[in-house]
Amino acid sequence: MSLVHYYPGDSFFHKLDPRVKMLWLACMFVLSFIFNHPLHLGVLFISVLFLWIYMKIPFSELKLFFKALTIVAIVTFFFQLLFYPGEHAIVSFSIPRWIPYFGGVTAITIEGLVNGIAMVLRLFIIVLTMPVITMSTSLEHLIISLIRMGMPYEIAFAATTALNLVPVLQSDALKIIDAQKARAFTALERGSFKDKIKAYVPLIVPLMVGSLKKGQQLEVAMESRAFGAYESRTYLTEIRMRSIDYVFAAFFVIITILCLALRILKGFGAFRL
Amino acid sequence: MAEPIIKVEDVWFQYSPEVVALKEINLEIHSGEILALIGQNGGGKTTLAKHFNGLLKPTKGRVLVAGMDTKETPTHKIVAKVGYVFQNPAHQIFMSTVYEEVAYGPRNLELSEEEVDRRVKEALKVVGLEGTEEMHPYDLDYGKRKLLTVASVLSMNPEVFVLDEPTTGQDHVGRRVLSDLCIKLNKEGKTVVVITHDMRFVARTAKRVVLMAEGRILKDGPVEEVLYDYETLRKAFIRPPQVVELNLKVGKFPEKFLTVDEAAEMIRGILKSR
Repeated sequence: MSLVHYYPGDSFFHKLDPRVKMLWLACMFVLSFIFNHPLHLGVLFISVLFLWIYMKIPFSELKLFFKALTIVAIVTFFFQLLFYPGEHAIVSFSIPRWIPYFGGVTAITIEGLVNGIAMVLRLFIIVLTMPVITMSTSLEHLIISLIRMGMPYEIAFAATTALNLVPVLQSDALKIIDAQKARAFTALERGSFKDKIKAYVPLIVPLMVGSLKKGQQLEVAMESRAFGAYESRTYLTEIRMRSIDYVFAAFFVIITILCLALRILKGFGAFRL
Repeated sequence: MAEPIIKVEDVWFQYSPEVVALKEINLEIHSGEILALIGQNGGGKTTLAKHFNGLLKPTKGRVLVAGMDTKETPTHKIVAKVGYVFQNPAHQIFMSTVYEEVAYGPRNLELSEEEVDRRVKEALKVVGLEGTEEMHPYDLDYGKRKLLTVASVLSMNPEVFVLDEPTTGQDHVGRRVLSDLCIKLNKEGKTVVVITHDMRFVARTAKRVVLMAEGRILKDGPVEEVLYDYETLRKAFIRPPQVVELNLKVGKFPEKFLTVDEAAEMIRGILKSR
């Protein structure tokens, strides 16, 4: 399963106009960058998490993604913890200067800790919001909303085709791994970490060749159905903003502007000691 | 009777909680058999075949290959016994020359370089691809690429060959070559399992037929018995070869023939005795 997989459903978020969803995405990005207090970021994070649970996205199918995300989060956290300049020390120590990279670090500070947590939360918010949209919106709707927002049809088509190909490539990759296993290739099962990395190299050739071929076939198939014959085109699916969409759009914008104003004027959501 | 080389015991398989691909499969394949797995698309043929070499492990039940439980035995030990030729050559070819492609399997079996060389030459000769050693696999046409995938399994010298739809995209000559190859391998003592939709291929090649539909085995028997069971075949949306249909329609022939050659010989016999 992949992050760009569409999980059909009929939650309110599924039904929302894709343009409103993108507006929500933009608002989440803005908010996650103006706040640096873990509490405020925490609220944002929980709201995204709530959406994931509410939309019944199967977490178990995304194990690898979460594994990778956790590693990145841990590294980010420790970097912030050690290197963020702060004055309020929790623990003091000194790492001798001759130790590469870490030399000169003298303390773990409250600022470093807080910033570390904030950075990790920000990372999670940004990484987790995007899939909410792709998972709750069919490609058809996504492409049309992109076009309605002014993207040329050809580019929107190319973008969505690329998204469409991701699961195909994944299943191709699994098939090739099977084919290698069937010929007594064992590095993936019992090899060292280095062997495993190496084992993925022969995967690249058939995958590349396969996707280039698919691209060519697609081109022919499109030409033969008169792709681009007319300047303007009509669409099978129409999307229309309903009143509920306007309500949510207004809600997102107002909240964001409010937070932005409070942040600038009153320091809302900023961490100070 | 000797232990079967492949023994499938009450196997169920699920891709996901909703998709049950195999239901209650019991099957014994003995060494030296040549059998065809037939049935509609989505009937479970490929899923079952992938259990034969441990690429898939049963959700319930067990599969024994030469006495080894596929759940407990590492896949590389099983694939040395059971070779698998995939349906789509694009998924199987990943080396940059024909030679390297065929040498890939035996090298993984840690054979000596002379032995690998011997086996590659032998395998390429059997499928008629000698002289293409240095070519890039993708420069071969589809039919030859398919033969290359067969050669790359041949070179591993397994006891059992599983061929997944070898005849798709093959012209008449290619089909004949593959059919002859299956028969030849079988004569040399190999066990051959062919998944196919091509009933003429089945009639010409197989001795035993296993008919699958909706994840179950509908019928399992000698080729003339299954291909003449018009009713069961119809349930699985399969039409037997035309000569078989003709035989059934006429209904007066003394024997069950399967191929045009067999039919012609019999009819000639009947005409002569008049």
